[in-house]
Amino acid sequence: MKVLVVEDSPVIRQGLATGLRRSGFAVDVAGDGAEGLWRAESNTYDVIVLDIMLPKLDGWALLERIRARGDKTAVLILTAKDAVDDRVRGFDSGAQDYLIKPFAFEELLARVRSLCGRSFGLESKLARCGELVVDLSARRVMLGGRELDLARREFMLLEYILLRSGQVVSRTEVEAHLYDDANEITSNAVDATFARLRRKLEEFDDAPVIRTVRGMGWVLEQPAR
Amino acid sequence: MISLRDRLALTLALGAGVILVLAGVVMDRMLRVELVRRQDAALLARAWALANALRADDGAIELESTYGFDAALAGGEEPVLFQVWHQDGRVAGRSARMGHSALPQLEARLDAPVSADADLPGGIRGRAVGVRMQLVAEEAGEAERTLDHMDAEPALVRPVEELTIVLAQSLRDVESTMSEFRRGAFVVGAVTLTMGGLLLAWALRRGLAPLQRLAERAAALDTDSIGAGLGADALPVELEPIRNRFNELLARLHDGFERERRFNSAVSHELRTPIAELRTLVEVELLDRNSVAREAPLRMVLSVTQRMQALVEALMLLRRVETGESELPRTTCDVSQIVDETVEANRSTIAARGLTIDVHCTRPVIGETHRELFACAVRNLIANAVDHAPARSRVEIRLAAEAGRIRFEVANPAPDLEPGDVEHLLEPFWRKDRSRTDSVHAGLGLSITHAIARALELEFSASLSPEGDLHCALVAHGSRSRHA
Repeated sequence: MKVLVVEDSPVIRQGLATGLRRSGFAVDVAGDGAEGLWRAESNTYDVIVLDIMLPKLDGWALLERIRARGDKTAVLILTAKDAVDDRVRGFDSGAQDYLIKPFAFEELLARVRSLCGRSFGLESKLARCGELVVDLSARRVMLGGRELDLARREFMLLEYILLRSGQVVSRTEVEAHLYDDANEITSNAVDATFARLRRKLEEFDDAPVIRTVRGMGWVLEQPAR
Repeated sequence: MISLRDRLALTLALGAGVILVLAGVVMDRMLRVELVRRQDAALLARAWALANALRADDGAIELESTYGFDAALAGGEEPVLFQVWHQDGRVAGRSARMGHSALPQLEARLDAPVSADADLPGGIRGRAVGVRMQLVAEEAGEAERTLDHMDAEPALVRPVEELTIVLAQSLRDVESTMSEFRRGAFVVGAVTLTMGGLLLAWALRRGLAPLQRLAERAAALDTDSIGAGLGADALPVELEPIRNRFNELLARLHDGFERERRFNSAVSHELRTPIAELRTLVEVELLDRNSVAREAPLRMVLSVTQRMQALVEALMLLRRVETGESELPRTTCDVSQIVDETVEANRSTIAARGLTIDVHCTRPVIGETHRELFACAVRNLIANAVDHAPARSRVEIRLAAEAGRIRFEVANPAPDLEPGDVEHLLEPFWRKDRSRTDSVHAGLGLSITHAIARALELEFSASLSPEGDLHCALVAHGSRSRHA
């Protein structure tokens, strides 16, 4: 899952980026509204964490601009503005959530996870595909009653293809959702991650299968009986 | 407390009454003196008339009937009495109606008649006038004597002896006139006082109406409406400088309040971002599995940060409630549930401090209020009692719905508080301990409760009982409360 953090406070911006990355998100950051708009228009994000009082272009305008071009990316407004009018305006402008500073990082994390899940039609913190159950909140993968130990990138990949299970995901989409500006993507990074994840899943009899669709991408499917 | 108008009315009415009475007394005295003077003058004229009518005839004294003395003495309703004395003190004659009674013999001189009060026969109070005359005998068959030339030496008469004539008359005519005057004066005085009183009341009401309006406006002022001042409509010239000066002071006060609110708001708002930064840094650092060694200090930093955050949020809430920034929709809620939840939330502190909590409440108590704000007020009051009551003491909580009102009261021993401290309890950041060694409490809880009470139109009171217990009570009047 990939998150864009648009926040003018460098401390909060970097703190959020670090915390979200440690929690399994790919994170891009922007220090002002103009940069945030440029990133939102040039990339695909699962959630945008948006401050309101931003230099160059404030959060309200940024939100209106991305909604005006049909972008339905979930937006969580993170601001010190706590008046009811501001909150109402936030939701009226198309934000899905509103969190007032100061905040508990755990709460922000839970809200971002919830928004990510909802953007893929998930109603709870558990995502399933056959015997495979992924607790998105606890970041645990259970398969046939056993816990599957995955590296951070492997979990991110599994989480993404699981949320899109049954759909073919392209390399571009995987790169867009798993990697951020902080990571240099090598040419075979995605292939290598898929290969490692596939090997770990194959250790289980009832594990879902990652099938390669030549020239298009990958799809997670339930095993054939 | 007596009003200025009543005091003025009373003073002016008393003053007018005293002046009227004094004026009446003076007029009474003057009128009586004048009436007596006139009676004396009339008696004196008659005395001279009598003197002119007297003739000496071979040692006897005769009264010339041609002078019409009877007619002269018969004037008025009250008869005039007379008595004449020889020079040696013998009585030469007297009024027949006196019988053997006598008039007082006044010591008059030839050139100075006298008058005095006198007791007349029959015990009647009267006035007497005395004159002294020279009785003359006729020379060559004709004697002449004049009253107008008593000091001159008569040319054709021979003085025989000096006589003393005293005329007296009852004062009943005077007293009767005085009685009529007094009756009239009393009626006039009463009517004057009544009319004057009514006029005074009307004039005072009309004259003091601007002051009354000013006082009502001043009484209606509170921190929210202070900016409106005392208005700018036309006032009497005596009040305008006061009103204008007062308005200036109120405007300054209003600006001061606004500045304080803006300052609090700005400080609180501006503190949010650094607190958010600090909290984010600490919490993200705690996510790092490699930071186990630093976890304890990081958690302490987080705790301090959270306390700062709670303080800032309390200040923001206080500002919002005080400025009426937030809408306060009322909903029906179970107030007893709020109380129970709050007591439960404080259980760990209650146990740690060994407190005994007595909750007197008939559940449920349903009322219409803004649930969140009311719950905040209840939380603050209970937390205040639980945190400040001495260890192992007893805290009493009462909730009752009666006669269309809900009363919530918390009482706890407060041995450190003095009666003079109670008025400061509602001030933001006031703490009994001036050293501020208490790092947990900021002194905002009761201020916020007070502000919430104002916003929700609740009655809030804090008092110290003679036993040293602090009683804090919230009363919701006119709410549709009931015991379900």
